[in-house]
Amino acid sequence: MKNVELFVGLKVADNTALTAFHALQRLGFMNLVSLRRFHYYSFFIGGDEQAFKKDIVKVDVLVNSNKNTSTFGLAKVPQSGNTRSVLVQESGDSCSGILKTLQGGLGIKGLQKMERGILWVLGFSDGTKDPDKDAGAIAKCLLYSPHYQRAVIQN
Amino acid sequence: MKKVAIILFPGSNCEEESKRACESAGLVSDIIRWNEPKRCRAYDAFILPGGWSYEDRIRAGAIASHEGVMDAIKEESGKGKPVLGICNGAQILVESGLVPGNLSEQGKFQVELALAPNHNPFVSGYYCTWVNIKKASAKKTPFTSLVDDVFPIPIAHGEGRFVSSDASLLKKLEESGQAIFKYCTKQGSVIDEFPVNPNGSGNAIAAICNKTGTVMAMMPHPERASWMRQVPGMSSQGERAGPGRKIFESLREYLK
Repeated sequence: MKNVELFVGLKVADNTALTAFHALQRLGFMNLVSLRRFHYYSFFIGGDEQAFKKDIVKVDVLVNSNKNTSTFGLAKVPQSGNTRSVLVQESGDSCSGILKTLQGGLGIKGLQKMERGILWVLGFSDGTKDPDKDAGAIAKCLLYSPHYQRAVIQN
Repeated sequence: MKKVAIILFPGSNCEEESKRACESAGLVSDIIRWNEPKRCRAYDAFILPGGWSYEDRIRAGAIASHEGVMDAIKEESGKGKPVLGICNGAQILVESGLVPGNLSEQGKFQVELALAPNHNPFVSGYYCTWVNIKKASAKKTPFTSLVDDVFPIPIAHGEGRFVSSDASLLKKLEESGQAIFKYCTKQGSVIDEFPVNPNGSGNAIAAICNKTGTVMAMMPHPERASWMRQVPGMSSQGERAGPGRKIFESLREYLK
C-alpha cells in the first residue's frame, strides 16, 4: 500500500488563518510573522500512484482549482526562512464519510484508507531563539484541543 | 434592579432571542458588545448567546475565549455572578476553562474539556433537532431551581460533544453534581445512543456547570423554547410560557 499526502491551500485570502494570526499576536506571540493553513489529506492506495494523483485533484471535492492550490508532499509546501509546521488531526476516525464518497459515487480507484487534518505553517522572525518551543506554545494555546485532537510539530 | 448582560461577539446570532427570553421571564437585560469589557462589569449576571463567534474559525469558541471581555467575565464570575453559556456560549465557556472551572497552581483557569464535533451516524457536521433533557443533578444552580425534571428543547450545533483527554473527568463531574442536564427520552430515560443522545456527547451530558453551580455551559437552546408556540405539537398553546423559559425565570429568582 502506498501513501500519498495532499496539501490543499487557498489562492484567495484565508480568513481563518488571518483571524488566528491576529489572535496569536494579541496573545503576545509577536515573533510570529506569518501563518498559513493547508487542508491535509493522507491517502493509502493500491495501484497506480500517478493516476491516483491526477484523479484526486480533479474531482472538485477536495480541490476546487478556481480557489485552491494543491501540492503532493510536505516538502513541496512553500516555506521560507524560519518556519515550523504544526499538523493537527482529530483522534479517531474523522473521514469515513468523505472516504465513502470518494470510493463510491466518485469512483476513485485504488483508494483504501485516508486521514485528514490541518497543517499550519508558522513563520517566525529571524531573531526567534527557539521556534520549536514557540510553535509548541502556539499550538497548545490556540491551534488544537488536546481533548480530541493531536498535534505534531515538524521542521 | 438587577440586570443581565448578553455578550455579543462577532458572529453571535441569538442575542435578540436571548434578550426576549430574559424579558419574558421578567429579567432586565442589555446586549453588550465584546469590545466593551469595562461596561459589562456593571451587570449582575451574564449570558453568552448562541451563534458562530468568529465563524467558528479553528474551533467553535476558540477565538472568543481569548477576548478581553472573557477576562472581565472570569473576574466577575469570581464574585459569584452567574454566567450562562448557550450553545456557542457554552463552547466559549469550555474553551476559556470557566467550565468546569478548576484552577491551575498558577491560579489560571484550566481548559479541561472540549466540545468536539458531533458523532452522529447519519448527519456529518451541523445538526438541528428537538431533543429532551432531564435534570441529572440535585446541585443548586442559579438556572435550574424552577425547571421541570424532563423537558423538550432544541439543539442546533456541529460541535456539541463533551469530551476530555482525562478519561475519568466526566464521571467525576457527574459524581460532583456538575453534569446538570442529560439527553433523555420523553419519559426521562437517559440512553447514551443516537437519536436520544444527538451528538455522541460523553455520558449523554447536555450541560455542565462549575463547582459552585454559578457558571453553566449548555448546548441546547432554552431561549428557543420560551413560548409554547415554539414547541413542536404545542403551538395551539400559543403565548404560554415554554419549558425553556424556566431557566431564565430561575435566574430571575436567584437575582432577587
